[in-house]
Amino acid sequence: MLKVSNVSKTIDGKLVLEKINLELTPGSIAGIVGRNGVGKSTLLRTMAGILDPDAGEIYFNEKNIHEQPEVKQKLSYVPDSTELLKTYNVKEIVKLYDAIYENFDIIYFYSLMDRFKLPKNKKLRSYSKGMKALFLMILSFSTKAEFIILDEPTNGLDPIVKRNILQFIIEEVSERQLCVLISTHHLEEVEKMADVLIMMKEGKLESVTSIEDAKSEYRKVQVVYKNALPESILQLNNISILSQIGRVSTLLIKGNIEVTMNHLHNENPLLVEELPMTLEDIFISSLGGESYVS
Amino acid sequence: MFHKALWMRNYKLAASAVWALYIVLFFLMPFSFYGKAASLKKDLDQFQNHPGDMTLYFHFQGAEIAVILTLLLVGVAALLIGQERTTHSTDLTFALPFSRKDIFLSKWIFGAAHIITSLLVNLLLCVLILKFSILSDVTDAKFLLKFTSFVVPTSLAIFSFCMFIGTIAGTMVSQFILSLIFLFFPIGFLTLLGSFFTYNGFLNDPMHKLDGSLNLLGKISELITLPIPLLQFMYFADEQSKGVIDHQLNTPSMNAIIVACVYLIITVLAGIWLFSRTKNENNGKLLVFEKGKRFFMCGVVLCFALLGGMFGGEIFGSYGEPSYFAYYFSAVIGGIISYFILRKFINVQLRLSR
Repeated sequence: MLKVSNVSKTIDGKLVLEKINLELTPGSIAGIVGRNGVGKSTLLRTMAGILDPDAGEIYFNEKNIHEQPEVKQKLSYVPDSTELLKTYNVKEIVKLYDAIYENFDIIYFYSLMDRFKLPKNKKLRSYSKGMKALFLMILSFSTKAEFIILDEPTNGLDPIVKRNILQFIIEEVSERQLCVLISTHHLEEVEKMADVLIMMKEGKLESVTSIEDAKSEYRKVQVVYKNALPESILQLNNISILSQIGRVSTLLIKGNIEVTMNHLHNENPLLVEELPMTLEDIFISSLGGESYVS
Repeated sequence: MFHKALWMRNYKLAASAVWALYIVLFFLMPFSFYGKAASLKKDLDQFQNHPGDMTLYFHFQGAEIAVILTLLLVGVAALLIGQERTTHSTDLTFALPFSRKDIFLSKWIFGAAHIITSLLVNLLLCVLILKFSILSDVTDAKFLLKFTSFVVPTSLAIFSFCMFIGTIAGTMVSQFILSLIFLFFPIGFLTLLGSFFTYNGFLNDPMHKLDGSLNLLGKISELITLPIPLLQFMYFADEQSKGVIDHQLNTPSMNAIIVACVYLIITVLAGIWLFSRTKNENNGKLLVFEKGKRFFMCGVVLCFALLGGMFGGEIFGSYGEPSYFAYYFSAVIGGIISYFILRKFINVQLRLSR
């Protein structure tokens, strides 16, 4: 469905995207995560045809989106800014989108407006930030696009609306076999709904795996030794220390899990306990890097 | 090339400037003609009661509308392209299923259609007022036809040129300012060069020499400075004595129409080419393209150095004598100041509505 082939992009002399290769299939939700400034939005904007790649191509249904932009009839992009259509009222936007997208479903659009209780006779300017974000998402799904790109879609949404909208996305994907790519910092959302986890680090794809595979590659354990953590454990390069309070250490093991667990036991611990793992642990371990936020 | 959706989008972007175009032209042309007719009628009544006291006259000068028309045309172009860059709503337009060529052409067609319509409608109203008012006793509409043949291509050329600048400039403000600067660049740059030659002793008598050896260059620069031919258009009809009317029509060279058409063709083609390669990541900056930055900076520093020299040499010159030292001192100061200001602003990215 969507294929990103060797895409690189330099902005202000900085290599923001470096040889990105990615393939997404229908009927899936992909969550793209990474720290601020790693190039997530740049990648999404390049996929939407807003930015040109310096190298590489992006294909949607086998067609290059930059050379044949008409394929974007089936591709919709929801930017992280909610201010783009603020001078329009709802009717004007419906008219505009109906003129743009051949398959724009007005009845479906208004049914979603009712479902999420959004006012229909107002200018977008009068909507709250969360309402605007929700509105743009509704608009995007009403185009009946096969591939939808959502850049930080749940920013500003209250927990109830957020839960509803996530549920709605899951319904849409399962019913219409579309593909949704979501960039977000809310890892619990990705954990709940995404089939594919895309991790970005310093302009490169760190990994593209399913959530289950990602989790099975890691194990989170709490260990207590008589003294400090043994030097032999500290020297293992597949272990990250998530926290250390007194003699209690929380470790994240990446790969080679059984061998590492044996190693922990061989050092005569007072306690070794497995803890439930979250995506946040993987995120911090894989993408944490330096502590500053760029 | 024509998409209803893009037309709707363009209307939303530039509606204010387009309506201003219709309304302002209405006030500057038919409304003004009506006023002139009413005034002439009043004068005629007086003339009939006191023959010999006054002469009847009617005049129309391109300058009456050229300046405001130019500003409006720059405004329409700035709203169509620059506004999207400033508010970053290019993220909406460029994600749509339209090619960049079609997006640019739809903007150009939208602007051009409204420019032609607003000019022709208002010129037609002027013709009707001339035909069916007291003005018909003094003049006929021939001069308006002549004016139409200049104003329509020139306006389209100015608009196209500003659209072209919009493909280079990164914000609405930079598009507006750069459009105005470059519209008057040929004549402005010649003035700066004339001053440079004078202070360096190549021209001892600038006024005479500008009329003499630089005459041809001056005429060419006037011709290729798009708004100038409009400013040169003048028509006077004076009734010297009853029944004897003296008509004076000063029109710019017919070459102005050819120049406008050349501008139009080149800037539309260059605009399509550049817009198709636009770097949206630089929206909000002074310039969209990184590659032209160094050349642009050199040009701006050179012009400001020449400008600084021109003013400084004048101010610090003694007893009306051009001062070589004052010229170069001021030129260096002008160049340095412009370099540091430009260096500060050229990479600043405005982020409105994000």
